[in-house]
Amino acid sequence: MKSDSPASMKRLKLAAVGALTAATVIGLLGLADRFANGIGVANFTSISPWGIWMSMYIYFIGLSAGSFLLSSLVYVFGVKKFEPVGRIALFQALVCLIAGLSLVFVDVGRPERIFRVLWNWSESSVLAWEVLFYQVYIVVLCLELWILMRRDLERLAHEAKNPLLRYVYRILSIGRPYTPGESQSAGEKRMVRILAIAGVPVALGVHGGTGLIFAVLKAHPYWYTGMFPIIFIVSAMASGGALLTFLTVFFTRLDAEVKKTLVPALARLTAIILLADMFLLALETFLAIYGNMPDHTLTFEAIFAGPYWWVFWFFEFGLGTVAPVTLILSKWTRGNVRVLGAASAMIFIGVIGVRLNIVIPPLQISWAGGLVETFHRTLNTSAGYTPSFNEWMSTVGVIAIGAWAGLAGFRILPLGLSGDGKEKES
Amino acid sequence: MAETENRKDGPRYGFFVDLDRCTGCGACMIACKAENDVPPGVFRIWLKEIEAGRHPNVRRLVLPLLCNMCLKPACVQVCPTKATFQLPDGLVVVNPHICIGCRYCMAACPYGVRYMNPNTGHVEKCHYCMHRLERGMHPACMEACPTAALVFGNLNDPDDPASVMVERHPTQVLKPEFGTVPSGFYRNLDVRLAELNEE
Repeated sequence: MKSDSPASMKRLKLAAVGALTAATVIGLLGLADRFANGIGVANFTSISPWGIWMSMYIYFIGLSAGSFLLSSLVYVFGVKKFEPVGRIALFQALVCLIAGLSLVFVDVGRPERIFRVLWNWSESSVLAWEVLFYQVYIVVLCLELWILMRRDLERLAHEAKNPLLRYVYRILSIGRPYTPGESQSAGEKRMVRILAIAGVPVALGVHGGTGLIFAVLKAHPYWYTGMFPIIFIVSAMASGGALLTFLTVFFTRLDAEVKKTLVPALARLTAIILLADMFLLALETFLAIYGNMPDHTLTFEAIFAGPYWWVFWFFEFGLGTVAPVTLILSKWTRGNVRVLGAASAMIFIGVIGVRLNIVIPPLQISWAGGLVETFHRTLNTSAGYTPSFNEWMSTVGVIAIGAWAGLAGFRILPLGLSGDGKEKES
Repeated sequence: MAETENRKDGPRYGFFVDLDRCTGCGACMIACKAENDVPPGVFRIWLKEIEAGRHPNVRRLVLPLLCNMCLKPACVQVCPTKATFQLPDGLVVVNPHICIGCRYCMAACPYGVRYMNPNTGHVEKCHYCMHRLERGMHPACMEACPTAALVFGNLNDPDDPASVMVERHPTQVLKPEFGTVPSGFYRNLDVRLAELNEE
């Protein structure tokens, strides 16, 4: 890890960009196949209607809501320590939200009808309410981020050398001329605070509501618990915090000194939230084992010892919890910013396992007509779901496009603190 | 509540399955596929086969599963576009022009009787061959059943064969504890389940 020479960094960067380009090509092919040939390219069954698209959708919505909630530490509770990453948290929330909603678009059978939800409104459907929540959320998110960046956008519209970029900045700052030395007005500060405060219940609604989509389904005892929305929110904050830590370490040009205090604090917060998430999961598991109701325990059996046992033990537990928490809390590594960044990457990759295990195992259980106790603790393999190659490809595609959008934003948008002179247009 | 009471006047479509007669031949599945143009890999009526016991004391139950036309359907409640809805006669149907294919109803259905048509991208389900009911005919599966194990009809009409059968035999519904008030009545379901649980 001690290869700080510019040449090796350049090589690493090149490799990363190459991998991302390859992923984009594969992903675009997958998406083209998906939209040209219809939903039949996915391996859904009648018994198991949701798969990795749905899992990744809740993963990204979780990342988004988690990041937004962390940004509220800065803009609602005024925690000064996290201020340098406030805008990054908001921007990350926006990109992840768009990635998540794109996956919904990929996932539904008739994507061209998706806005039908708005005029064929069904007040009894949690999903319909969620669509509404997502829209309010995206407005709050964009407005808050824009007001925060406004002055810098005006300045960049004035200073940027690249004419194309200058044009982009002019559009983003809606043509308002740059006044040197002007900083955020009191009105704008208040507006940010109002939006941030309003955003907290909205973000909780966005992801708690996503949890509620599952929690209201009485057909699946694993989902049918009031704790589910809470688990969603807690694991969302864990993944959001982890992504924020990772991006802060590897993609921001903050001073080493600032990072030295900021990153360990962020990582510790993430680790604590992650442990809380694991505690909730342990509670649920305890209830299932104690209650010993077959259709409930079967799901846990599928998670811990089913054909995809490694998703839990390797991704969720080993890579996603034990290893990073050890790294973040151990006294030998807790001061090393890069190690903390890597540990955070483990956490947000591990949460993918959490999401897969939320969506897929409960649908694999063989059930019909209150008969589950007679099925003699078997998993119905014939109804079993294995993601098709296309499902992986299109998921990779959405993630790759999201990564490009994120990289572009980091490159172009003034996401650092205003006036610190750190953002240079390239 | 009001909906249920209204249905006391009009028809309430349901079915009766004689588990003592069903041989598990699958004629109903084939007839349904042919009648309703159901694509490969998915079914509107399917047979759940449950085996239990240890040799030589083995038991097997074949359970035909199709839409129960619940009076309080979980699928209708969750549909975000009201594409799946309940007709006044109790039939729960899907409007293929509104369904966005989110498959929320499939996850919500406790009976596993919905599917997504992979060719069209929207959810479909059994509608008791509505197009045949309108012409005074029976559903295709009922016509095909060689042992007359399946009887469809208006459960609110005491003279309807389905009503008569439900009246005459001890019957149970699937998953009554879910409060969905299903309209599918299975003869001696409790006895069969108890048999399966014998060691």
